[in-house]
Amino acid sequence: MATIDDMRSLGYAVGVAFPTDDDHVVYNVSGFGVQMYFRDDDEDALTSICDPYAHADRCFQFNNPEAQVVRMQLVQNGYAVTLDPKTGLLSVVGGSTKLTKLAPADLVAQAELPNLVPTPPSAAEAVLSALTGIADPDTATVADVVGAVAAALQQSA
Amino acid sequence: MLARAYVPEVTSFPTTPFHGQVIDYVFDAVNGYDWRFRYNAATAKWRYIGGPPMFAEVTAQESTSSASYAALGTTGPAVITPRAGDYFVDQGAWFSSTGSNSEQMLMSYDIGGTGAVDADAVIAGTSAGGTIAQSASARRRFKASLAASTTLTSKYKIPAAAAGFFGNRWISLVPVRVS
Repeated sequence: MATIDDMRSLGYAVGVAFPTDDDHVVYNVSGFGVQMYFRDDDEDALTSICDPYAHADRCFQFNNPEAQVVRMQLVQNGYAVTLDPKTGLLSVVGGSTKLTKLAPADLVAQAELPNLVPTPPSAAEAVLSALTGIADPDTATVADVVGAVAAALQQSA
Repeated sequence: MLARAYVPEVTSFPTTPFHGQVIDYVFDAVNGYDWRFRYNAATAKWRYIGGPPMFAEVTAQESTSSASYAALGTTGPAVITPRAGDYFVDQGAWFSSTGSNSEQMLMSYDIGGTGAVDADAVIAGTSAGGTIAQSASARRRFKASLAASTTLTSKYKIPAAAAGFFGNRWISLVPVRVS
């Protein structure tokens, strides 16, 4: 089990905020974007603050906010972005892209990677697809769409 | 000569208070934060007069795909009631997700051993056909009769099949009256 000393050795400031009525104490911990209160018998708080991966990730985000913005953008664009907690370096994998051992500044340079997530159809496109049976109206010709709509109207009449 | 008004700074409440007694209670000795209370003998309660909220935050953005309330990589944030009483609880976060359709992300809080519920949640989401949800939202609730030393711990869920990301998440506590 992690201890208050483990927290301090990672660089967090920890002190007693107030004593409780049931003979415990409440600690205040702060550092690397964390500011929190926890009881001395709260093992979950101690474990999660001292967890090596969670700590490394908090440090990365705290020290590299611009790289974090790009990391989120890449994740939302369909890439797997992982952080090595020991080295603080990142990898980016997705589509034909496989980048490893990127420093945070190098990650920022990957902001232009293409979006791998297909854009969902608009409501109008969805209605048109349902009416005509054309899977992707964006790639169909005007003649295809007009023909399919005419056929659908004829069928419904 | 007039006597100078003196409000004692205390780390525990007086055991035999008198009507109108005023104290500055230190709820965070680390940062030097205190709350001022005035005692009301008719209700046998200490009324909150002023002071900063007890505030906790985790700025790191972390995620969950859990459809029921769960902790993220860093637990909390969490605050703790120093005394039994009534409190305002505020919470908020920056929400985003990898999904794309009619999804909600919820942030609520455990109250001691009682699990988080939707009734206390701050919620962000997209409408049908929407794209990635991104929102900064907050909510205040009045919570009556919280027990002393109760930990309020933020928890998170995303009912849709997607990953919900929560960053700059915070919770704060302000007393109204305590015993």
